[in-house]
Amino acid sequence: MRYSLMLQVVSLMAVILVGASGLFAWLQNRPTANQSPILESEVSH
Amino acid sequence: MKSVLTRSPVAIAIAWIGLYLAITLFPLFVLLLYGAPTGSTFWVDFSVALGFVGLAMLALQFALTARINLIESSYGIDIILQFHRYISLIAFALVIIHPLILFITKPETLGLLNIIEAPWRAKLAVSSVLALIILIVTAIGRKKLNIPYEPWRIAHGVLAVLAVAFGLGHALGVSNYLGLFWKGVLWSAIALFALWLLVYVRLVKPWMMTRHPYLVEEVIPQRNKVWTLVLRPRGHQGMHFQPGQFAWITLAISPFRMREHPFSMSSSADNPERLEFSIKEVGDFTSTIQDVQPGTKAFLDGPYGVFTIDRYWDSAGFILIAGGIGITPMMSMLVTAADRQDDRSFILIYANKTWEDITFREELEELKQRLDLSVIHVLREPPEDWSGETGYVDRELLERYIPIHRGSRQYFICAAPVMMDAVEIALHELDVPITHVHIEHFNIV
Repeated sequence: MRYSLMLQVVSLMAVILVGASGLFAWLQNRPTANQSPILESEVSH
Repeated sequence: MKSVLTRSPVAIAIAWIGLYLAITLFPLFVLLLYGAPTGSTFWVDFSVALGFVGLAMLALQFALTARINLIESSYGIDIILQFHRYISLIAFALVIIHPLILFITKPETLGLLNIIEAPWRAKLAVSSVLALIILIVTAIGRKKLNIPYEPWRIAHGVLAVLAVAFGLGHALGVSNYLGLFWKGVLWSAIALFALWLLVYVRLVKPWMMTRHPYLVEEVIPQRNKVWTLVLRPRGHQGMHFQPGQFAWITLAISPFRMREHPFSMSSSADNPERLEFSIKEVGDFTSTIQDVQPGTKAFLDGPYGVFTIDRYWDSAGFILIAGGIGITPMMSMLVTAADRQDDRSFILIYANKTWEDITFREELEELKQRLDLSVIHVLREPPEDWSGETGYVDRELLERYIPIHRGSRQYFICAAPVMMDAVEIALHELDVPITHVHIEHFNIV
């Protein structure tokens, strides 16, 4: 029974790790300040 | 610290899991401090992240299996090993998904699978994955493939080192993030950490064991093909342990050969100068115990385990549930309690096939005179005149013997996996708090 609990914990950890990897990839590729449309419009003014 | 571990296992579990996640994700955090390399995409970075996380998890496997007391003392080695097995599958999945994402999103990377023409970093990656596949297949299918334990253990260690070393070589060799100085420092530190653990387990620990040798004093035959190996320390005071714990024994050979086997002590913890291990004939090594000669040199690595009544000094009493040779740690608990004139109540529910199979039958009868001990024998094949319990240790049987105030006792189970699972579920159904139930696998490896 405690092994099934552990399996659930390990599954949750896997979700966290994959989610964190996805977040990392998104953060690395998110639009930078220079590419932001709002900032660009501010610059044009 | 010890009281926190004992009283709040959930809190300490969260702390350990948090630490594990923090270490695993640390390489990504370091990379976040820098921008993404030119030309990277979400999928490339996602793939890189999965590879990094998988590799960090593989490196941490060395820490999980190094028998580090601080880690092991929280939950016991069998729980740690089970976590090691589960989490290795996750790490393996991440490592496999890592290139698959690249193959799908950048099909030109499929050319890296051409071992002959591929660059070194790709060759290292393929070698690492191959080592991992062999590692996982031989670990899961060891019994089905009939691989003997000792050569398997050596091969397991070698393959693990190869998988992580090749993986680290690949991580350092890929130019994507290689330009980052801190990336090199980080992975080198992880590699050195894993290497240190390996040196510690394979060299430092065996060397420490050689400094504290033991001699076999006698081998005592018990019921049901069980032999009690009696060890006496030579030139030191012996191993201090808590009743219910176990040690890894190396017999008649140097501890550097890494051919050790885990067994519970069955003797009193108050007598470290005479250590007894009761061992049942079930395999290659255990069937040789009866032939061990007095005077044979032995080495111990231990004690290990959290399966001990010593952690619950304020419990009103103990319910011990044993199946067959699972009696060994219970015997140590009972003998120690008797030596300490422990006045708390002990109930032992002891399952065996036949009346003649009951290891320590006479010794348990004697212990009743020295302890508040009730022994309930449960026989699957009872004699004709048997009036005691029969069949299996199930919910109905347990309900007859465990106290109404379930949480007033601590429950210890040591038996074959099937019985252990059934008893654990039955206790849960009887509203025994899960934190009061303690299990020990007598076949942890």
